[in-house]
Amino acid sequence: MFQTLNEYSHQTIGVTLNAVAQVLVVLAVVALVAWAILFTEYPALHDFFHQLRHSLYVIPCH
Amino acid sequence: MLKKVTLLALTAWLFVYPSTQSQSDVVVTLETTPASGFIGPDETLTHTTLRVVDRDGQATPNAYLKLHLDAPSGNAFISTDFPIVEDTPLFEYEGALPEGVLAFDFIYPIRGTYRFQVEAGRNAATPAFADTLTLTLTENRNEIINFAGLVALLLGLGIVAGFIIGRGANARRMAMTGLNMWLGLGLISGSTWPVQAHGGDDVSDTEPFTELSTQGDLSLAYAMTPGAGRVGTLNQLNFTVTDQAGNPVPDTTIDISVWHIEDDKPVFATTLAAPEGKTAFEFQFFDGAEHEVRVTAHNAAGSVDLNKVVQVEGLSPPLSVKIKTTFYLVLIVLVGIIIGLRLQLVQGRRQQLLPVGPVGA
Repeated sequence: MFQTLNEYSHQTIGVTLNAVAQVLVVLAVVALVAWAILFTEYPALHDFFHQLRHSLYVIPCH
Repeated sequence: MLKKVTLLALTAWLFVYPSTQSQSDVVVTLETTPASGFIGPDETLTHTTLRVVDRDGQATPNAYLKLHLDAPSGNAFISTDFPIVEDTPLFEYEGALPEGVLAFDFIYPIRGTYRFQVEAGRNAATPAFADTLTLTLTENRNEIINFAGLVALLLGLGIVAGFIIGRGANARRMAMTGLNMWLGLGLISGSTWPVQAHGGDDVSDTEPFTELSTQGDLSLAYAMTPGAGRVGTLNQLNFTVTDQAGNPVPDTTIDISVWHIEDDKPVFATTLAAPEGKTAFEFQFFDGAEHEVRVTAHNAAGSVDLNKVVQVEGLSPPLSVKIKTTFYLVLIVLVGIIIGLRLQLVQGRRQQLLPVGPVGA
């Protein structure tokens, strides 16, 4: 049998609510990792990724 | 009517105040090797030649030249490699040119249009020519390719994340993973760390210094103010060659190069005439790393060398630039996530709409 319209709608709403939180978590993690690799001035990280920063066109360094 | 009056006024103004260039009997030409299209910012040591020439195109002996070189202006949307360097002075020189030529090798730090403000004349008393010459550089091809790769990577990451989220991954587990990363990396990603020169050397002594070297009968003094470089600002460099009695030695030639120690490459080099035994210029150390200034002075009496390591203080890019760039990167991932979610939704609909068994069973 095909699923009824009611069953399908119920399932979709549940996934959408969870997905918003998950997307925000992913974006926050991406922002954090990007910041750590590309912008932090902590000497060990900065020195390690310095050349990478200067080879990516839009990444500012000093 | 108003247009006519404006036109007449403008014509009269042009007649009364002809441009400095048209009155001048000399002009300044700018030439680079390689040509601008082949210069990679922060990469290519570029031979730059400014010539004071007469109307026949011949270099003018003993011409006076004043040069002020400015870095390109910034872009409101995308930063360059050195945002602190944007729109700051890089080099200043003023003096007589025995052969009418000022030549220097320089690694131009960022993409954009460099402005050479020049004043020139047959002598310092009559600088009849004034103009702003420009040199426009585009970004390294490799950097553009790398950036395209980064965009593809972030987009791919977003698509995969969107696809997984669309399948209904465990939100709590994902949140805990994110929280752990915050705790682990948050401590070291703060922006309050002091920016140090590459290699960890602290730049604390900025007092002006004078370094002296003596070989044979000649002494070479190199003075710098401030005593350390700082990205975005100029340092005054003075060079004086004296004899045993302390008198400046005329007709001296001084070779000067600025060596980037970490990258082991020159970033600037020039040969300046010192008709009275001394010369000077202002220079910006645009990279926050140690440099060595290497000087050789020579004249009829002999030659003298001097090497001096200079600390340079790097400045962290503005917080607004960092935030803006991070936002762009996150935005790319978000686009990928949306694509991934759409893909998963389409696939999910197809699977859900398939018949689960024979009709009527």
